[in-house]
Amino acid sequence: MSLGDRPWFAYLAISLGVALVLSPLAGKTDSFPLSNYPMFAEQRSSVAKLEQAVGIRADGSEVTLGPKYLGTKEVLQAKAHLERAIRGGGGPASDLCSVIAARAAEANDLGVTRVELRTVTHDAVAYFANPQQKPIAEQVHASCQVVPKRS
Amino acid sequence: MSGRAEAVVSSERSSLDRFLRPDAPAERLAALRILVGTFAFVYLAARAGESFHLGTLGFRPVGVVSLLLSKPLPTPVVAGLWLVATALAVPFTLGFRHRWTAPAFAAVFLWVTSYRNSFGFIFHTENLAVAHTLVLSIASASDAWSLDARRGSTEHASRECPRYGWPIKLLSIVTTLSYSIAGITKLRVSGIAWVTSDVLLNQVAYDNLRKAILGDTYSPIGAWAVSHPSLFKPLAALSLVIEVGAPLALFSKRLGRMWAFAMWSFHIGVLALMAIFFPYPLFGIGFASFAEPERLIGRLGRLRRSKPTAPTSNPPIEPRQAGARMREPEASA
Repeated sequence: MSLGDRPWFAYLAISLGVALVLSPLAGKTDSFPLSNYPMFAEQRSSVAKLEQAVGIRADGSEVTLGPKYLGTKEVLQAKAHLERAIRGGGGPASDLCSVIAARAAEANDLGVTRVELRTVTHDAVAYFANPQQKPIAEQVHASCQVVPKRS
Repeated sequence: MSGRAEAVVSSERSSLDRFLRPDAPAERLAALRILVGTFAFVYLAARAGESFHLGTLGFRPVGVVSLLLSKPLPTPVVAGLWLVATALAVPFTLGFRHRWTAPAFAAVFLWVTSYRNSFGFIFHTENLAVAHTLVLSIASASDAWSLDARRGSTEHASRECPRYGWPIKLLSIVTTLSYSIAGITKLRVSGIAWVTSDVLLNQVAYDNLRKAILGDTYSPIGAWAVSHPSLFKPLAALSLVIEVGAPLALFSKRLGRMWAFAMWSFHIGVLALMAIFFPYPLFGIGFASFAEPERLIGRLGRLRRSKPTAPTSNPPIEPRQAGARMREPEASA
C-alpha cells in the first residue's frame, strides 16, 4: 500500500493545502504563490496620476519611453521602478533619468535628445475619447540630455 | 480483492471520504501531470531569456525568496536555476522517477517563479500553475502514461480508486479557493460598492490608461467599452458571483464544468478588456481537474497511432468507458 492509498495522508495534504491557500485572507497578504489577489479590488476614481518616462526630440515632439528603456520587458515592473525613483526624490529620479537616457542613446531608435520623468494626471475614462488631449496636470521630476553614442 | 468485497469496502466509506477521496483512474491524474508539466516546460523555455535580464534593480523578495535572500543573486545563478527548472520539467512531464524528480521540479519551479515576482510587482499569473505542480509532486501521478509505468516501477491500480482521486480533488479545491479569495478580497476592500458603483469601469479604464502612458499595448476593446459605462455593473456582479461562489463547483461534476467554463469566459473577458493574458487558465489547464482530460490525451494517442508507423510492442491505451474496469497493464518489454 503506497502513501497515496492511506486516507490520513490524503486528509493531511488536503488540510494543509486548504490552510495554505486560505492563509493570505487572515493576514491580508499579497505574496507568491500565496496571495489574497487584491488586483482590481480597490475603489478607484476615474482620475489617475501616473509616472512616465518621455523622450523629447529636437523638433519638440514627444514619445513615451516604454519598459525596455527601464531595463525590463514587464510594464508593471517599469511602473514600479519609476514610482520608486520619483518618490525617492531628486537623487534617484536623476539617476534613473540618466540610465534611461543612456539606453535611449544606445538604442538610437527614437531620435530623442532629452528625457524627462514626469507625473501626469488624466481622467482615465475620458482619455480614450481623445488620447491626444493634454493631461489635467503634469509635473516634471527630472530632465537629462541624451548623449549620442559615438559610432 | 473480489468485486463484491470492493463493493462492501466502497459502501463503508463515509460520504465525506468519498467526497475528498473520490475514485478516479490513474490515466486522469497522469493526463493532468502531462498537461501541467507541458505548460510549465513551455512557460519556462519561452521565458528563459528573461532570467538573464532580471538584474538587480528594485529587488523586493517575496515568498520563499524572502526567507533566504535579502539581496539579488548574480545573473549566472539566476539563469542557471531557470535552466535547471526547465530541464526538470521534462522528467516531470514524462513521469520519470516521479518520486524524486517531481518534488525537485516543484521546488525549483516555485523558487524561480518566486524570484521572478521579486522585482517590485507580483504578476499573479503563475500562482495556480505552481500550486498545481506542488500537488502533483506528492501524488501518484506517474502510475500510468509515464516512463515509470513502462519501466514497471509503479503500482498501477487496475481500477478507479481514491489514490488518484484525492490529488485531483485537491487540484480543484486549490483552484476554486483561489478564485473565491479574489472575490472575497474585492468585497473586503470595496464592499458591495464593487458591484453597485463604477469600480470595475474605473479599474478597466485605469489599467488601459496605465499601459498607454507607459508605452505598452492596451486593449482597443477596453478603450471602446469604457465609453459605455452601463456594461460594467452587470459584468461586475457576474464576475463576483462566479468568484465567491467558486467552491460550489466542488459538489457536482456538472456544476464543476459549468463553473470552469464560466471562469474561463471571465479570463477571455479580462483579455479582451484589459489585454491581460493569463495563459494557465486560458489554455484550460487551470480547470482540467474538473474534466476528464485523459479522453483528450487518449484521443491524441489514437490519432498518432492511426498514422502508418512501424509496429511497437506497447499496448494501446483505451479511453475509460463508463462503468468499465481499467485493464491490467502488461509487463513492460
